[in-house]
Amino acid sequence: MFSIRDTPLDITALRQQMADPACGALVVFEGLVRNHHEGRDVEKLHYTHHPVLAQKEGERIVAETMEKFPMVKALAIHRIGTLEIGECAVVILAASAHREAAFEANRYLIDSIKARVPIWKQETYATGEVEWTSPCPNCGSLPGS
Amino acid sequence: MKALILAGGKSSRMGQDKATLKIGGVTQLDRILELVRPLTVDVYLSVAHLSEGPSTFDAERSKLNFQFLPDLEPGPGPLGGLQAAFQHDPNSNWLVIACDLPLLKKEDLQALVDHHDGEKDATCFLNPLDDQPEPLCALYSPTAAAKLWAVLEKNQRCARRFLASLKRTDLQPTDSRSLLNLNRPEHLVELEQLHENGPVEKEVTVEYFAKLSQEAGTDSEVLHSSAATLAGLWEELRLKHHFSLDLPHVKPAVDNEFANWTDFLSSDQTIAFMPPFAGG
Repeated sequence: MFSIRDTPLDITALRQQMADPACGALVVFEGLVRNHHEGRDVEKLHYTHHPVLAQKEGERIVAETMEKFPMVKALAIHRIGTLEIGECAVVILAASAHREAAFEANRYLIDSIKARVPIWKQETYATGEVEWTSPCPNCGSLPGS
Repeated sequence: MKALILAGGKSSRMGQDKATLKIGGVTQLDRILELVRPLTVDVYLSVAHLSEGPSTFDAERSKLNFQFLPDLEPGPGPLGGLQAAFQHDPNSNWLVIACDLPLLKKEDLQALVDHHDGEKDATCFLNPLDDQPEPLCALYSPTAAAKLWAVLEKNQRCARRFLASLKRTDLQPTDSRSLLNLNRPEHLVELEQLHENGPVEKEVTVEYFAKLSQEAGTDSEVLHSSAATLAGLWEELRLKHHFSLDLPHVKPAVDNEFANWTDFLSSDQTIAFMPPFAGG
């Protein structure tokens, strides 16, 4: 399951949602808002998205993950809106009978979501400046991604 | 006035493949020759080496009335073409045109001639993309020659910087796309379509996201466009809003589904332009 929320993520509740007696492994990845970016102090982040396409593409990525790792249960949620330092921006839960598939599926989910889901972040720096995290003008890649 | 068509040099200029690239069955070189012919009979084709000329261009073209003008030294970029031109005739005005300007019109060239002021070094267009003078479609006076030699002696090779340093008459092109460079395969599909069907006006809704909405100053707009493909529409909007990103770094979507740049534009579509994603 994939969803986008504008309210804080409750990891404990999400873990309970994944509870399955057949699963011996649960890999949880939390992407957190950090207080620095390329040497500048960050105060907070603001996430926006393309509402229809972000949901569609996220669902496609979860479906692909199920095809690649048939024995895995997966849940991925991305936050939008304004997030403070330390808050969870994205959470990926992948459960399976054994750890290998859970680790691999989790990694596949977060990498694909970052690359393919139309979500953007705007950083507010300690100086008061506000900037969209901008891609490299030559290759289009994002710093630190 | 003599005309210099920049067609030689594979890397620093547009490369011979662009000169021989066909749109609607006509090569870019032939199209430019057609535009230039009413203005002057003295047409020169700038090439890196003389040996490049006859082997590069086919027999049909060899019967046209023009001469090859080789660079004086290797690898000098477009300014080297102008240098060879002024060396050949230092007393003539030189109309310099790159042959990768597929939407350039004869009215544009006529405007350069009509507005040329012999007291100034050059007459040129301001490129709508950045409002800077465009050196590869401009008319240069003999007074530009001495200044050209001075910059080349200092090994400065930037044609834009050179033109910016001259005394100029700056003009606006007849159409904001007149100076569109043919530099991406996606543009070729756009130009083929425009050639085949002519401009067809459509009404579309365009949505901008993140950095692009900030630069456009709006999240969405309804507009009329005669572009044939998404790439053509993007080019129009890039000029209109002065976007900092170009086509390879933007993703298009049509009616809430990812799309390709060469997809055709039709009325009532909602087009989204999205900068590189930055989730996580």
